[in-house]
Amino acid sequence: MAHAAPIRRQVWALLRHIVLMSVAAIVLLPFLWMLATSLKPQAEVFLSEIRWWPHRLAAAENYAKAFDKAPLARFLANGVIVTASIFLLQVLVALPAAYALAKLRFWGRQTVFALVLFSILIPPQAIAVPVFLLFHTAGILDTYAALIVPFTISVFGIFLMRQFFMTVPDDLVDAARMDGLGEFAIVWRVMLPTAIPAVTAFGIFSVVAHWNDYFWPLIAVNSTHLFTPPVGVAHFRNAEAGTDYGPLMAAATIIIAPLIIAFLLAQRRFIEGITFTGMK
Amino acid sequence: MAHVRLRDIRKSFDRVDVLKGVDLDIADGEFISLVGPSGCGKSTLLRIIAGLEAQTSGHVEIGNDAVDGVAPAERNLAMVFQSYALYPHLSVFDNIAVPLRMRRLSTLQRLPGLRWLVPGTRSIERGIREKVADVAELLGMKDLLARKPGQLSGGQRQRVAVGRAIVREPRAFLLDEPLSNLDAKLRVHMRTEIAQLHRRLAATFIYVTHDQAEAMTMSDRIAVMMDGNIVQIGTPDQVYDDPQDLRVAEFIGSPKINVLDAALGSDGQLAIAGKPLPLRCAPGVTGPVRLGLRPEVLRLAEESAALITGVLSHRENLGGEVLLHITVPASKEPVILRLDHGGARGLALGTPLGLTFAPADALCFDAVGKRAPMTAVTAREAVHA
Repeated sequence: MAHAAPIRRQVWALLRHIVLMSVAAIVLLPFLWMLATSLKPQAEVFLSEIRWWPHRLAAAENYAKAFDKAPLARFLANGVIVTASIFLLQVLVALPAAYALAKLRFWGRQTVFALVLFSILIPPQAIAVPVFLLFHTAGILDTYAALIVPFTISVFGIFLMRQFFMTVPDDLVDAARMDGLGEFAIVWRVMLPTAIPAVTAFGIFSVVAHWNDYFWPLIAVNSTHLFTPPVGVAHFRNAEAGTDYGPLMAAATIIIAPLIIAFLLAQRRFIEGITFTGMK
Repeated sequence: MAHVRLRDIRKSFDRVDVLKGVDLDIADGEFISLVGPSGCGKSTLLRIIAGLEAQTSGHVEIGNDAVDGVAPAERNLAMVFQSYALYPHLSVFDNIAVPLRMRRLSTLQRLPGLRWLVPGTRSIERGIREKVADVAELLGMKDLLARKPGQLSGGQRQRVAVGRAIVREPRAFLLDEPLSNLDAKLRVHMRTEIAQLHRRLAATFIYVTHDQAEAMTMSDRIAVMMDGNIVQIGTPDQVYDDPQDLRVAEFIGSPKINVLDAALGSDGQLAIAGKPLPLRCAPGVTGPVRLGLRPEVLRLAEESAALITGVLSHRENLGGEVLLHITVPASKEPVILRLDHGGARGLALGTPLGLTFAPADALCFDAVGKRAPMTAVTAREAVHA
């Protein structure tokens, strides 16, 4: 009898893991298939049987072809330039705005905050056409600016940082004022260091969202040398690879690799960030 | 070091008057406590002196400078906060160095990395290092300088906050309930330490607290605040022995002063529960009056000589002293009587007791709670009465 309870608990744990692992397998299956395909020669891609590991390994030629036919390095560099610039500018805007909304008393603060919340509801697709026309008039379509500028003001970032700043004691801000720090100095020298977890969380969301963004870069740029990784790969499929799936999957693997490597390196931070924001 | 002068300070938040015209003169080098129940406006007053809050009207003067509208840092005051408000990402050393760096270094000399390229940074930093070391020495925390605030105990954090205040040699120190986050034992210890610090620095200290014991033990003068006004200001002895308002009498002193309803005879003589007292109010005072009696002025007496009679309802033995709670008809709350060590041993609960007091020790308050002048009735008059 004494052993009955632990055994039941172990069985239950086993069942739980079986369920979770089968769900994880469903999610992972396309990725694994992509990896497998990137290793196969053309002849083995269209077999009627399921073959996880190719008889003739064609990894070298597929990956070489991917790098050879498409400027993948350029796409990756573009991805880094665009996501890093977006994140930096977002922080540059969101922190002072969030500080003002959380810690300064001014007329209309509640209204401004309500507007911020309201703006979260607007999907970027809804305003894509007006922004496109605006950029056309301004003459910045098909430049890095066109990829970066629409995302510099992140209302989600403002909201997230504002919520975090609300939890920072007012005394800390007052102490900084007594010590002679100006309001902007307070933002960068006091609030930013205390808000590192929140900034990290926001950074993860921002980088993932903009690295993977396909919609806006597709509209905003035409020149191949400005393509971000997702647009670049799609272009590669249409223009070069056609139905040559081996090199195509190799290219896809390469462009998701940076995010996966970043995730593996910063796994704990990543999970902390997601639980911190209380989002999925 | 400087004196601080407040003239008719008023402050309203959304049409609620928090301060209703406060005048206060604080002498150079004085330790003054602003004490009162929560919501009386004492913290707001301190924040107005600091410049963290703008007064609705009135003037603040520090030294001989009017500082209305002057930014907090330019007033050259230092503040210690209840939550200590240390920068969590900076070491103890850097926390203490912040006010000096802000004052002595230019913007360029504060830029991370670049700062060392600017001429003069090194020698100024050396000066700051020496100054911080001096302060750490003074407060006995030299070996804590490399730690982060998160690794410190409450008392140590408190000390760092004090260090950050001392290091800039301000014109006055503002302390906002600095001890209320400490445990009781440490609080008593820090009380002594702060009082000693004040003596050593001979600086002006403005200390906000809701704890009357802190105010009594450390201050040169106490300003008791109620509902946005200073009700009484004086030395701890004056405020304790000679309260001008019933609220002051009730707020200062622990256990609380006993307040009894008293009847006022036509000739001004007072009576409690129908029993005449050898006390007479000055003419012009009209009823109902209340009599304040500190727990230590009451004495046990024979029934025949007793001025007040009651029944023992509770006994608190505090070791060094004993508090007797006595239910009397003239008061809803039991009267508390303080006896020395070992007093009233063997008294059973429910025992009827007689109480007496020296007439000069009683305090009389009129219908609105203002102190009413009173004279003792001579023995001969008492016989006639």
